[in-house]
Amino acid sequence: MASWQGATEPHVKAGKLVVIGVVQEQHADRARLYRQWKRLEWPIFIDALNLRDLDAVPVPVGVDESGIVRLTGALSADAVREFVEKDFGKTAVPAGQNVAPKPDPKAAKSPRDRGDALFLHDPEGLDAAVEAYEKADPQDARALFRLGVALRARYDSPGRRPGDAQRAVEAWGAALALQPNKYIWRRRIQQFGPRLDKPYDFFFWVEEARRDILARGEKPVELAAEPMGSEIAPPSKGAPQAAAPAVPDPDPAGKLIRDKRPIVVVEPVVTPARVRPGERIRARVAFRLDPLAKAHWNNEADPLSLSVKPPAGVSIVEGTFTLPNPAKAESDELRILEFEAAVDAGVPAGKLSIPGYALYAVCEDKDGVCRYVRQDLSLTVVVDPKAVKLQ
Amino acid sequence: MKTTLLALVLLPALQEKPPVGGAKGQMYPDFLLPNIEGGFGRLSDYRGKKVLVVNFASW
Repeated sequence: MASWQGATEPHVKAGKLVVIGVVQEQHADRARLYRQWKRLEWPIFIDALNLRDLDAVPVPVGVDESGIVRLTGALSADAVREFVEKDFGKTAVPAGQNVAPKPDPKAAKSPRDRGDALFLHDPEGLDAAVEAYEKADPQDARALFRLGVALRARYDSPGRRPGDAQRAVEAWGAALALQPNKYIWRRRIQQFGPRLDKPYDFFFWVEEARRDILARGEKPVELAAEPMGSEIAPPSKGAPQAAAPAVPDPDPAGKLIRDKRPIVVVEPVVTPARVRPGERIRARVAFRLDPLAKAHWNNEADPLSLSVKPPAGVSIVEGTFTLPNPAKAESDELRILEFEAAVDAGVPAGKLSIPGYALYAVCEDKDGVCRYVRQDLSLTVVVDPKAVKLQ
Repeated sequence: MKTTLLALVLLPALQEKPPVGGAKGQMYPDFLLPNIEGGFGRLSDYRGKKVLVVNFASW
């Protein structure tokens, strides 16, 4: 990025060149933080749906005054200078020619087009966009990818529905299985997947960005969905293998009272949704206080813990099973515990369940009653020798 | 006739699946996308200027 800025900046300042960015990003606010950190002054567009149908990034393209492509490939200062200074002549473009129309969901020619129109242009259209993408041809890989984007966007919103995050991972996996060369799509899954499959620590830069921005005396852009767990975890390829962590089992007889309401909504997500024998999954278990329950975490009691018992053929290789309490006595934040498990090479195709339970301390605001309760849960691992490889 | 010929010349770049990297000499397909400020914009808004479109990621 820095080399592009260096190569283009003099021409932009001279008014001879406009640089615009198109960022492949699920979360627009993360792109805003990135722009603030890097002091990018270009107009930047968000292509969460991969409407540009890119396979990978970065892809710079120089376009002349008529909209004709004149510069492609790696950018050098010389190539940019030649592009800026060369007179390409004028190509007559009729008025209205090659002007992207605003899509109308009522006039959409396909479920995918309808989903795109609703996702992008209807602020209340997220549920309808999901429904539209679900109606697309199951072999329509782009519709599947965009279904995943819409589901993930809904999961990150107050309108989330149970299973949205897992279904997003499933949709992205199905899309990638149909078009395995789409590295934009592959990266979207890898952000939530096992460390062994990750090329880099996707959003680790966020903390560094905040530090730098604060040091400049600015206020960092706030993020609606904080990157957590796998999204900021470093790749493990080449790293020495640590010993498998001890998984707590403080209530083996199941005697603790259950969170029957439940006060805490537990959302497990397994990535990838389909795993080959011999490979790994990463499980992300989110704990979210149900706002209707009007309760808070009791940080003066034992911390949140997760216990899991993998079936034969599945072994825990790393993870965090206890989350230390924050310093303040009460809080209401989203809590995440993640672990990775290896599926033995000899495990046959089929569904496996990883049963478990979580223990946590919560207090209800209404009567001030505090309880240390248990919630049982189950994670599903789908073993499929034909599953797409994430690496 | 001139308009028809021009449309034919432009047609390959306007098909559903364009060459995203952009083949030299072809019209770069316009797009309408949300911008980072919360509005929308098109590449064609910049017609008349030389534009470097940088497709990138923040991860």
